[in-house]
Amino acid sequence: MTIVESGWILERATKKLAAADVRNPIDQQALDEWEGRWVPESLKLALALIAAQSPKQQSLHWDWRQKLNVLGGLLAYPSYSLSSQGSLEGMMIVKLDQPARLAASAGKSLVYIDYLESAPWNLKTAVSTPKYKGVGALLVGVAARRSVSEECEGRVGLHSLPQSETFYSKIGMTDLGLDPKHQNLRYFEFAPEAARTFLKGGEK
Amino acid sequence: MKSTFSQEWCLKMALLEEETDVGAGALSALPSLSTSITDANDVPADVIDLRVAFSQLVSMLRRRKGYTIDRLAREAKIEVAELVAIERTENYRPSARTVYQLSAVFGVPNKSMLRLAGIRQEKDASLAEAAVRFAASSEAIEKLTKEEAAALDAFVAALSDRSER
Repeated sequence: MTIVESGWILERATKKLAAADVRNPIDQQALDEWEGRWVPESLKLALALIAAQSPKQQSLHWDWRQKLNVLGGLLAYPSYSLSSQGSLEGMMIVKLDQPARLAASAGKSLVYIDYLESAPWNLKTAVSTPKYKGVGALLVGVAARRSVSEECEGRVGLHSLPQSETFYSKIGMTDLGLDPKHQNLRYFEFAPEAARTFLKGGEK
Repeated sequence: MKSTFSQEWCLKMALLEEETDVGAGALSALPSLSTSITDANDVPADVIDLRVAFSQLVSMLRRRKGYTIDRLAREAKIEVAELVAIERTENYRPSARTVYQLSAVFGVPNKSMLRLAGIRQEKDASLAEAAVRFAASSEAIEKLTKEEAAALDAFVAALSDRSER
């Protein structure tokens, strides 16, 4: 496992940039950290949500071991972990050589982001004061650069979580609509020109 | 070969993220609150499913004693099939007698084991919190690691504490 990219993420409390390393692939240490820190934190946050709302009809249903199994299966594909100051802050798994869906890219391949997640303490949907911003964005940048190196001209595709849709639109990805074959998540894709614009200014 | 993203670019992107959370793929979704009843035995909807913690607890207590499933079933005078179901099936609900037998063999307070197994329906937020923390602490591997042992001890202590109430 080697450091393949480095960059910066924004620590909200101090408004300072913290150095971040992106490693490939996701190794056992990262998985241990996912299981040992992300999972308990997510569950704690979910419990707090339940306690705060205390509605009559809500129950927590989440099989995190199933998630670990599925995640483990995906590790056959290229994977990346993002760490800052010794802590795992983001993970991503991509699939290469996937077919582009944009009409103008017909017949071409892209890098598909199968999984992209930031640590639970960075999520606005989970905590009132997220710790870092920019984790997901940096990983999308890594995927776009991977696409370039794979001769896919920066083409990237992904299925967005509902709360992430505005971000993907903002960075110039094309919204190709809800995908019934993918839990009705919205599918976004970078055209080469848009990917170039997105990556511009990123080289140090 | 390592390449770098500039500070300016990273800052710009972080600010673009603003109040949105950037994630992709169904797998990245957080635990969701659902309104469905999770099993056929009609569990009241506001009970958190603690059975993941229960099955792991049984498994770890068994391994700490160095017992096989067969041996534990014999010691506790319960059916092997039920013990296998407890340890390996997600939504299995054991009988109250089985839970009682297991708590006797392990020396863990019966009231707490019953709650964990979903047999007592009271909602106890701090027990739930201790349970999920424990459940998340390890996957079932053959040998108990130091970390697992520590997590197990802490959890058993929390259970014994809970049983007074």
